[in-house]
Amino acid sequence: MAKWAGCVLVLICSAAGIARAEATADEGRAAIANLDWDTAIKYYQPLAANAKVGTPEWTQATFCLAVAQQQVQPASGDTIGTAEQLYRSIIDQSNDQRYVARSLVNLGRIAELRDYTGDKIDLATARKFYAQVAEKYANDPIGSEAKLREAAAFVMEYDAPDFKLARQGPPLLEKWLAEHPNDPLAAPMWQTAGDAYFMPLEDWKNALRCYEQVNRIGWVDPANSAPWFWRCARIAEKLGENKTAVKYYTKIINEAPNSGKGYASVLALKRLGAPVPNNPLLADPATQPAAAPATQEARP
Amino acid sequence: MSEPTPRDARDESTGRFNGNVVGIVFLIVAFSVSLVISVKNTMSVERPTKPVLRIAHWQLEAGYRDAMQAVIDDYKKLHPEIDVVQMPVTEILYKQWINTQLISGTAPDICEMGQSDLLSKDQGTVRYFLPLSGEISKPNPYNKGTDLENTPWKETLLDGMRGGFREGLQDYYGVSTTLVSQRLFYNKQLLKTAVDFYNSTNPKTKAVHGAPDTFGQWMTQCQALKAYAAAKNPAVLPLVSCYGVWGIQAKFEPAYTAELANDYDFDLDGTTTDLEAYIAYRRGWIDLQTPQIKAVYETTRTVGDQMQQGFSGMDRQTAQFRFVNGQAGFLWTGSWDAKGTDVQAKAKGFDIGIFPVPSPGPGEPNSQYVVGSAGETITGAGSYGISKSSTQIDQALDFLRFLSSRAENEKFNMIAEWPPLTIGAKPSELMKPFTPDLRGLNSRLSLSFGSRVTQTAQAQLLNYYQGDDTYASFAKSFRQAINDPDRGGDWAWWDLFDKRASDERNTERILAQAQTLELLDPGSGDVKRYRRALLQEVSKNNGQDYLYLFKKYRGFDMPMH
Repeated sequence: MAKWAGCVLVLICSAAGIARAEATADEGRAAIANLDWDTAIKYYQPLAANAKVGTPEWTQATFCLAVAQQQVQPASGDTIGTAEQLYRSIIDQSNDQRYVARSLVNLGRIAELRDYTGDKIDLATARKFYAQVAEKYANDPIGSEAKLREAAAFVMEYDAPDFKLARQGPPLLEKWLAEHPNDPLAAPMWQTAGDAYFMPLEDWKNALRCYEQVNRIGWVDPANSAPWFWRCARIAEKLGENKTAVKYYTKIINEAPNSGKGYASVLALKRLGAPVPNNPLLADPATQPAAAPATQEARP
Repeated sequence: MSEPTPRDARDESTGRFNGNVVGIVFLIVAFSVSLVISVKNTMSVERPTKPVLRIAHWQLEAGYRDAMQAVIDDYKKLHPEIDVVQMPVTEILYKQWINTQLISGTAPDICEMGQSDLLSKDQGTVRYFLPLSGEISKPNPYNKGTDLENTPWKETLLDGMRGGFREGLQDYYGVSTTLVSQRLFYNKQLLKTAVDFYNSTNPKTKAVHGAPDTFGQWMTQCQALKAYAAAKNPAVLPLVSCYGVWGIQAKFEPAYTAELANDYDFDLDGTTTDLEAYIAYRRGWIDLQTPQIKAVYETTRTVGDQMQQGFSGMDRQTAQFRFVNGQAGFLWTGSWDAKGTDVQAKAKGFDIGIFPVPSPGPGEPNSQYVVGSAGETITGAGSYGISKSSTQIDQALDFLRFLSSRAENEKFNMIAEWPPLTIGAKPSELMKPFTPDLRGLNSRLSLSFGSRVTQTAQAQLLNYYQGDDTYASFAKSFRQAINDPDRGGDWAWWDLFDKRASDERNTERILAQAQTLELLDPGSGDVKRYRRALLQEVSKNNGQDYLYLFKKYRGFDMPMH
């Protein structure tokens, strides 16, 4: 009898413990949703410490704790060092590849970013982590993100005057895109390549070629892309590609008339002798616009 | 003779009313009424018979509360099952009050965004307010039967809801209800009297009646007002404002410098930033003697001459008071003051006219540098967010849809006399001149680079505008300020770099949050938002591009402060 009572007591205690752990995890998740990293640390620290190493619960709690330590403000050598250790423990001891891949990328982020005063940026180390993820998880979305970040970390070198490293960024992306034409991050990749060709490489022809690819796929943030439309139009005009210039000036009038460049685009089209589309927003203000501006969302 | 009764409460001996009895009766009645009202109010708050949706705002301007109430009344007719109350709080107290409400979890369901850090900075916003991107891409059902019927809610507003967008959070947290713009108001009767008087003195250039078309015409009208003041009423000033001349200067910048600015838009993004202007200045391509730049300051200085000595100290009440009492020909203010000014002016027996700041016309001073008129953009204002502590999020969202539907937004702004924001909503007659005019130039060159240079230069510039200093003296102070290695342009460049790196670090937090929540609950994330934030972060290059550009244009490594 006493034996059964003991078993029931253990079960009750276990159930209570599980319920408490779930409640704590929920609180921790809510803290992350609110960007409240201090509170997240408070909730995830005991969860990570009490979970059995290698279990899904341990992986989740350890990862959340690592993220919170990495993002908590003010950051310091201690908080970033702790995050680094926790990510490494996940890489070494977890079987969940989703968490392993993200931990590797996050180690790259730690190397790339200046997290606190005096922190040194280490782009070479960051690139190693990103390359590792891009290679190992080439067909997962995180592989695409890692490749984008690897290329960006090359561009960020800005190693004037010959740009030996910066020059490697755009081809890296173009090669990836040739292998993964339907990559979910294709638009940001083309845009990043275009930006790099534009500055610092000052290769406007290739910049425009890449931006044209973005335009084909769909701009990531159409409502906020007027500066790129204007850049494409200006580059095209300077390169003598007036047809392309007209396309982008027209795009500004139709899709971003309120960007501050709508009227300038009207003037540009007139200068180029091209037809000017009629956008009510650019008409006399006494006339109210009758239709909503069109937008184009990025694929997929 | 009838018997005295308690009802008429007369004193038996004197036949007069007994004051004590009347007082006691009055006290008892007043107490009872107060008690009933108090209990009723308490009960309605603590034990409402139906759900109550609360809306907090700080707009106490004439007409705004009536406008909100009219929309609320319309909504309640459609939804009798819910009560909606507005909670207007003076802007002096709004910040403290809303902070307390948010922190204690008792915030109104719908709050006007702004005033407090908790409603305007990213960390407060993300903690206390609901992101709206999931909802605003769906059509607004209250636009049914109009050409906006199938348009995503976001795109039914003239600014595409940018007024409620938080760049750092890459999400929408507010629905704007109106827009704002600044114009010159004029006293029609006073101006006519002054112009008639002035023209009767046979001046070299006659003043025109009504709204001027050019800057020169406006200045001649100011001259007329000065002449009238000297001869008839010394209290009259040509122009008053509590906003100084900075907003007017901002209109001259594109008019004179838009074309020149395009030459220094190095990244071809359509905007010549203060950094790009600083690069041009450091390379010796432009300075304060560049004719187009000097023209901006000289023209603004002419405006300063039309205001009272030490005009920068004038407050909103004084400016309004002087204008509505016929002591100023012109008032520089915004759409938010239009109704109040109009009502007071009518009460004083005069009409107001409204016009934008004009640029110099042909043959007028500096007109050879004018390349066009200043353009405007539409940015939503009066933005409302939904607090996370609301227990009626669906109803709150529904009310915001209703408020921003074409019909109700028109009605709301018609009553408030503010410019409407929903596409197709018609403005009131008074608001028509405030509709932003997008047909103008937006590029500009400004040599105010960085907070420290701006602080020093603006003080000197104000002295110049107020007639206390010369242009040469201002230019000398400006050069000293911008060339100062510790506080000048180079410092401002470093500050930009530092800020960009910090901003990127904050974007990293948004991405980390999204990645983690997606790992914990696969499929729950907003893919588009993530992609936007990722691109935004990558394109900012950790601020490394600023270091590169500094070395390229300054010839040495950026000093770290």
